[in-house]
Amino acid sequence: MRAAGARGAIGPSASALDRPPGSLALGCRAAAAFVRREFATYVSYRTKLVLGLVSLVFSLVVFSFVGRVVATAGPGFVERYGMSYTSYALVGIFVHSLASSGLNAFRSAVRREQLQGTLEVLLTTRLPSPALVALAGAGELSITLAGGAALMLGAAALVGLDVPLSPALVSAFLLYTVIMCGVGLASAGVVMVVKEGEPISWAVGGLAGLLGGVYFPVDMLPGWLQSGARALPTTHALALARYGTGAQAASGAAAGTSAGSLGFLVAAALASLAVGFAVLEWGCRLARSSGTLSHY
Amino acid sequence: MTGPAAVALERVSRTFAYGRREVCALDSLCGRVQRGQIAALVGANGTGKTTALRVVATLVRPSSGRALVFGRDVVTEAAFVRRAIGVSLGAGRSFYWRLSAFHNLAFHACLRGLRRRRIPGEILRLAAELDIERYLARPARGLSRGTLARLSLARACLGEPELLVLDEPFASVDGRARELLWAALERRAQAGTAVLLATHDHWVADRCAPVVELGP
Repeated sequence: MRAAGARGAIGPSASALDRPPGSLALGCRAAAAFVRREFATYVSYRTKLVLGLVSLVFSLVVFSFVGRVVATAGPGFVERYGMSYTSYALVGIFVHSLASSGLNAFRSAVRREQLQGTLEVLLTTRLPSPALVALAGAGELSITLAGGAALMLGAAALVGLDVPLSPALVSAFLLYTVIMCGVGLASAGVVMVVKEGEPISWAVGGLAGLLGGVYFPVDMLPGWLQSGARALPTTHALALARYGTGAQAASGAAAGTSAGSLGFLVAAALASLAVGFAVLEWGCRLARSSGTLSHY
Repeated sequence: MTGPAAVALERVSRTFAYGRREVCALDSLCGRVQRGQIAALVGANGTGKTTALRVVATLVRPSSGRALVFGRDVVTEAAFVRRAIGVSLGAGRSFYWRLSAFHNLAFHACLRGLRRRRIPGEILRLAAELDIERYLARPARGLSRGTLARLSLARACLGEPELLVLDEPFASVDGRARELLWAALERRAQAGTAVLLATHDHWVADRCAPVVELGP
């Protein structure tokens, strides 16, 4: 038999796990494995890959033309936001897609594993279940990050980007993404149990668009809704980002000072991650208890 | 035999709720598997073989009773148990179909804690043993059921765990492949690995010891 030469390696005494790695080392290796898996899967869909690249070029062309229209309408935009409209829109798209991916990646990773039938075997490996779900979602996030980076690099090369990368802007974007990841982890925990119809990301995503100051200043809302808007991380992230680009006057200033927004976002990020992992742990435990881990 | 049993099932029961109705999938199962044994769960469809394996694999919690793997409770010490086991729970839908057989194995080898530079060698060793070398570059979606069954066993054996938990590992394999898989299990048993499998195959069950028969 061809395997005869390999017999010496068979059996637990000659295990390849002779020195089991620490959890951090294992976590790093697993994270890299998830990212590799995600990229390999993504590029295996060649039509999707090509269409994604074409869409990227389309976006650049559309926003460069709209930027020209805005520039000819008046010089106010650059003074107000510290950047051209094209840069403004592309940064917005990048941050929005990253935050949306944070909100949805973990849930969709769980759902995909459930439907493929790979969830159970994944959960018999050595990492804790919440860590596995977090890493599976992080793999999908890395695709979004790579797509966003390609968009920004393409924009820098083709139309030129003039984004003032202030610390306030960067921290607003990072904290906002972390907050959305926390919410996304919680929604993945709910998906473990209910499979379909998870309400958390739906509510957070909907409220963010409606009340978060994405499309219009928060102070245009009725007073009672403004209170609700100030409790949303989106409101504070956008206020801080606009402050960071020198456009505090246009932000509506409804979310308070930049320091207040930063404090709110830090607290919200910590709370969101803690609650997210707790809900995910609960979901995994409940699915094991009810015996529905393999259901979809 | 020294040390705790590889698997000890102490009156393990499991009921599932379907609406208001409760169905008993496993009723007071007892049994022990020692290191070096290839134990079989046999019985008609619906008698709880797969449920018992999933309890041992930490995927389902028992409603009552206790399941121990090397003396550790599968509920309270699940993390330890998962370090010690290799699992194959049906081959068909447990692979990433867009990825090659090699990539599927490499991914799981990472999650089992194998160092990256050792992974290709480990995969080639198992592929040679189970005669699936020529399929390694193919996407999993293009493999036959019998090949997927061998690939599933290879995945369970990654890192040579101390206990193999296998659900119908011989389903869909031809006579030659069955002997190949059995030889692979026997070699591991001789090296001290414990194997707990569920089967309908008399050829397999006749070679296993102990054999636990589950009834309705």
